[in-house]
Amino acid sequence: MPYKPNEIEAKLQDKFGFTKAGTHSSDHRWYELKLPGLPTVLTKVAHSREPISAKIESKMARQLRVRHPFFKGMMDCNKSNDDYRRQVREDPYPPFDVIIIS
Amino acid sequence: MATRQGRRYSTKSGTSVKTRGDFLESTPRGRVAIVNQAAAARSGRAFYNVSARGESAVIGVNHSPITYLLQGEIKPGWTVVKPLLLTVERDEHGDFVYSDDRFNIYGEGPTQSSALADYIVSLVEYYDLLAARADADQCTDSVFSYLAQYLRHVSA
Repeated sequence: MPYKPNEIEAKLQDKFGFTKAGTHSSDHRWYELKLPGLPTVLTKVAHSREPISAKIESKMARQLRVRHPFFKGMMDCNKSNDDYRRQVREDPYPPFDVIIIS
Repeated sequence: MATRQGRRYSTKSGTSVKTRGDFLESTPRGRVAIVNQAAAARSGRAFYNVSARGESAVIGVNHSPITYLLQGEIKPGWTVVKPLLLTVERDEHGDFVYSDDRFNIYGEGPTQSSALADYIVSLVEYYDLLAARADADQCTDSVFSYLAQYLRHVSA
């Protein structure tokens, strides 16, 4: 099921604790989530009334460090906030490029 | 629908296709009219119903990903000092999508140039966002330092 940008923005903020990250562009917004011991997760959401394409969903999923099916689960309410945080900590996809020393 | 109304797409052979009522190409035997776009692009391939001289057929158009090497000055004051490999794809709306697998930045638009411009804006914004957070957080600083190996900002 395709998702509209405003639906994604609402889910990111209300369910997963993302906050607006200040942007300079009028056609998209950035959202951020800071998890202790991990680099800030940043994702871009385009401003549009139309549902975003599956291709863009997969790009956003990478920014969120999860696989595309997991992203859909996040949007479809099959994945909880705890599920997401656990996933990013234990099996980020793609992995963070930097070595995290905790 | 595979594409949005009114968009024009190039095929491998250099011809162009458009939405209902437009023509795929002119041939000595007449014009081939697209009567419907049959299915969304899947696996990099879009399908169209076409008709000519009373006969119809389904054709496939490849939308395979291609790559683009981003380097040098990308906008005033901003230079990519280490080449960044981008993938160029089409989504099921027919839009172009530029993205990289290193920093996971993407840009989209109805044309290649607008998608690349969106990518560049996003890359620079990503740099600024990381820079603003790097001082307070060692993990984010590591990501920022990595990005700074590729992208340099030279103040005027």
